[in-house]
Amino acid sequence: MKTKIFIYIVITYIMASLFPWWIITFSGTLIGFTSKTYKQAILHSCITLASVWFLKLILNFFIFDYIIIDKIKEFLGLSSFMIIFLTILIPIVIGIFSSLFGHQLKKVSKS
Amino acid sequence: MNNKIGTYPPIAKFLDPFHGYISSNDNLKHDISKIENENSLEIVWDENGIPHIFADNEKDMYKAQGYVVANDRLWQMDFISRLHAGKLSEIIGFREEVLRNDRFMRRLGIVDGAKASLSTIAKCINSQNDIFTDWDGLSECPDGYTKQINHEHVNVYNMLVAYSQGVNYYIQNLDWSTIPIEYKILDYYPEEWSPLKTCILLKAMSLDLSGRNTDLLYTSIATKYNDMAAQFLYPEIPYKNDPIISDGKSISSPSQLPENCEENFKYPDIAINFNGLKMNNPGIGSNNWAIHKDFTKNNHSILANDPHLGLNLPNVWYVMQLSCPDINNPGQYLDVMGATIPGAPGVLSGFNNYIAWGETNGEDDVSDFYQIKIDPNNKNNYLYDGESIPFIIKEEKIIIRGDALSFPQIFIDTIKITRDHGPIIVDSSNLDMAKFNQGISTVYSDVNLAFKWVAHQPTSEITAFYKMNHATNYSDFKNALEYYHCPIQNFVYADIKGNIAMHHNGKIPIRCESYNKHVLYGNSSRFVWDDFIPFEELPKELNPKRGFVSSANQYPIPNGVDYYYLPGVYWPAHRASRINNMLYESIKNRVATIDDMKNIQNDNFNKYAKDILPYLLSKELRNQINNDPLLIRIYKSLDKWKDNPIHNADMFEPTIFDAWYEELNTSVWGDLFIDDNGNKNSDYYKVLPLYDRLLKVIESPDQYFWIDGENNKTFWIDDETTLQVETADDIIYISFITAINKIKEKFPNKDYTQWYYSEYRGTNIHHIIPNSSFDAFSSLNIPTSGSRWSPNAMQNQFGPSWRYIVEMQEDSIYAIGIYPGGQSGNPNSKNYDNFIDKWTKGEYIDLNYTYFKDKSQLNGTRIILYEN
Repeated sequence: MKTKIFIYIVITYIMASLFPWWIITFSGTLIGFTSKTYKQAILHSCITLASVWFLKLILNFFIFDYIIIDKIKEFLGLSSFMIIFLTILIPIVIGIFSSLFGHQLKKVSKS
Repeated sequence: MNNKIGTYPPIAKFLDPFHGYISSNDNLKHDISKIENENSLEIVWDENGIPHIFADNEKDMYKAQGYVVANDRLWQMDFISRLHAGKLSEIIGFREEVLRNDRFMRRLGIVDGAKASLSTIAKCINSQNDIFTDWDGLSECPDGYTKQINHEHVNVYNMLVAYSQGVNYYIQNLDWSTIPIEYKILDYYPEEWSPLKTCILLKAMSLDLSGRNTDLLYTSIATKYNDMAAQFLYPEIPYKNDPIISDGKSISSPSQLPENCEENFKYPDIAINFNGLKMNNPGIGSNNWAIHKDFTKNNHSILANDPHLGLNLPNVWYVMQLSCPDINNPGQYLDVMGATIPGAPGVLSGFNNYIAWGETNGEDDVSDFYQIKIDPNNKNNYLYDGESIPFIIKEEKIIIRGDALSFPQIFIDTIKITRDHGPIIVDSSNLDMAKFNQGISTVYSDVNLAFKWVAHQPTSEITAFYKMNHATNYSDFKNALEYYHCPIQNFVYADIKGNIAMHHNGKIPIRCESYNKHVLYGNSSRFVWDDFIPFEELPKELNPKRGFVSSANQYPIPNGVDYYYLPGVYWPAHRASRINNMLYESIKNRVATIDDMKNIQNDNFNKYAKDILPYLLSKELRNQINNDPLLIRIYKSLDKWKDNPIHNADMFEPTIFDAWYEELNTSVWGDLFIDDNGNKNSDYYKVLPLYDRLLKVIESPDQYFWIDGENNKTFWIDDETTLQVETADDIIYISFITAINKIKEKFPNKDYTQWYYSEYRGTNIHHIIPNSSFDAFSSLNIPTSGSRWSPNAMQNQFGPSWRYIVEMQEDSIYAIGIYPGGQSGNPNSKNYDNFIDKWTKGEYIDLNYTYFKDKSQLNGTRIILYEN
């Protein structure tokens, strides 16, 4: 399972680098499609998408200094924690819906 | 998640760590080789992020300028051009104040003026000589039209096109992850740049510097009180004048006096309320001066310039050097450097190998309001010279963007334009806009006012700046000025031969003095101005005996000189006099240096306080406060300070003076500007007389005016809203006590010696978007020194937007400068606001001016593009 998620993360990371943000919905759908159960679909999808965005966020923190993070915090009126929380929550929400869709698609296509 | 909601950015798109806010970076976003340079090109960014462009031809140079400016300031130039083109609703969506701004800008005719200016350079024309008016200067002309470039402006046209191409190369290679962060917040993409947009930016400059108009205020005061009151409050010549042109003998007598002036002119009976009237912008002004080589230590002329404007981030200026072989002077190089406006090619305030120049605002009135009488039989016509003339009716379509919760809309605004008086700005059929346009809350329902403005005309400032950039001597410079029209500016000049000059320059209408600054009648061609003061007769001086030239927005010519009528809002000469005194001091032993110029630019001395405090700190006040130990201590401190009144950030005396001045000003003038309900207006500071009037009535409190015909004598100093008659002593005492109490409220637990000026006034540099969320991208509470009366003309949101000094030595020009901001418009860049600390401290950066031949010696980040 770990290997599978790792592969998902690598593929999703590459796709997210090349395409707009909504590409993660395709990734979630794909994960849902390849999963055996709804539970697995949601779990794998959420872990994958959230990990990819979180990983990139952390990398950005190391690459850039904190000037822009501080300014965006002030701009949005949110704490650092809330920004990180939202950055993880968005792919989780998308992961849930897209993987459900993917898994449902798989069932429909089989039937 | 993919669309913005109201003022919130599209949340998923924005927070996406791959392409969202965090991916904005500070480097060149794309390979600059895509600009398709024809010959080799070298760009060096020095340690301050200032680009120095060395090209082998002008086309490549201006393309590169467009590219590097866009890289640093694309959003700023795009936004400012949209703001003045009335196209903000397209990107912001529906917001009442944004839509009103769009309607106002379109009504004002900024884009039409820009098109007129572009048409002097190039136009699309068909066989019937019809001009295609929607041409942007860059695209192909439509079928049936051919491009016609004015042979006199070919190089200027090529410059505009090359610059636009450079910007567009940059834009074309942008994607969501690389566009500036403001686009991500507002969720839109930039439009292609064009020469028309550059012309719009130059008209925006005209609006900023000459868009103020006193006609409505003046006529309203005259209607409410009388002409005597209006003339006292808003005179042409300030109370204490220290004219720009020192020697009256150099002023030409007028050769074209206005004709058919009505000596007993009775102005239209118009009275408005003053709420929010956009007449006076108390922060705009500037200083410039130059010293002849015979009066400097190194025997080189020195020039200094510091324009005072509204302060924003990103800053209005962008500093750069442009170098290439000079096409006008074979064998020579053009090395020009200085402050540019993002969006406009070339340099606006700077220097080259031979000459240096800089500007201050002339403050002349270059616009007039005309009362238009609608034809009662046909509302689409107006009465003019006994005829019924149809308005030019223009329908403006304003696209209002939708968002996740609303659909896009189109708002159609109908604008009436007169033949000779400009657009109808105050339209009786649209009082809502009248209120917004001029803050008019009470207006007779049948009043229609047209706005005639020099900036509506086909002016050619861009050509003037192009020629200034290329000028090699005074004659070239003077020739360039002939192309400069609006806004009126005081151009200071210095060259490597040691010459200095000052020109009060632009198209100043020839007007009848008997009309004063009143609203005029639009029903007769007799009141329409068409002639301008001839260029050769504009005020100027070359190498005056006193050894220097200087200007600080004061009245340009000495009192009593036979000259044209010059209406305007010229600044009292306190700042100018202080500068002149310091200049006299620095040249008296003929050893003026750049350090002396730095000291003048950063001088915080308040000559106004020096003049008025002896009257305020009277024996009567001393007696009135005798029982209060705190007030006595404050009095004594001010009494000591008045001999050398300096507005330093760490002092408390300027805090008290500022607060006292505000209270005094309100007490003396507030009663003149009461609204319909008898209340003193909350926004009246924009219409109050300039500060020399206060000094005049404090010095001579027995001055009066006839409030009601000639039946009711009223002293200016008296507060009309109270029953008793206040004396100057009363007003001084009350305002002093009120000021101290207000400061105490602001600093509740501090001793008066800790009422630091930096904490009381300070300076806020807001992001261009006036929304509190964007305070995150602002620099606030900067502990600045200086005051509106000082050469260092600092205020809360206005101040020296660019300080520069240059010593003009042949083959070894040395220049320093600074501005409150940084080269980059990217809030994620270390160069976004890195100059602010130095600017606050009065420090400068070396501009690293480098001759073309020495380009290899310039250190920095270097890109070399070989010829394609």
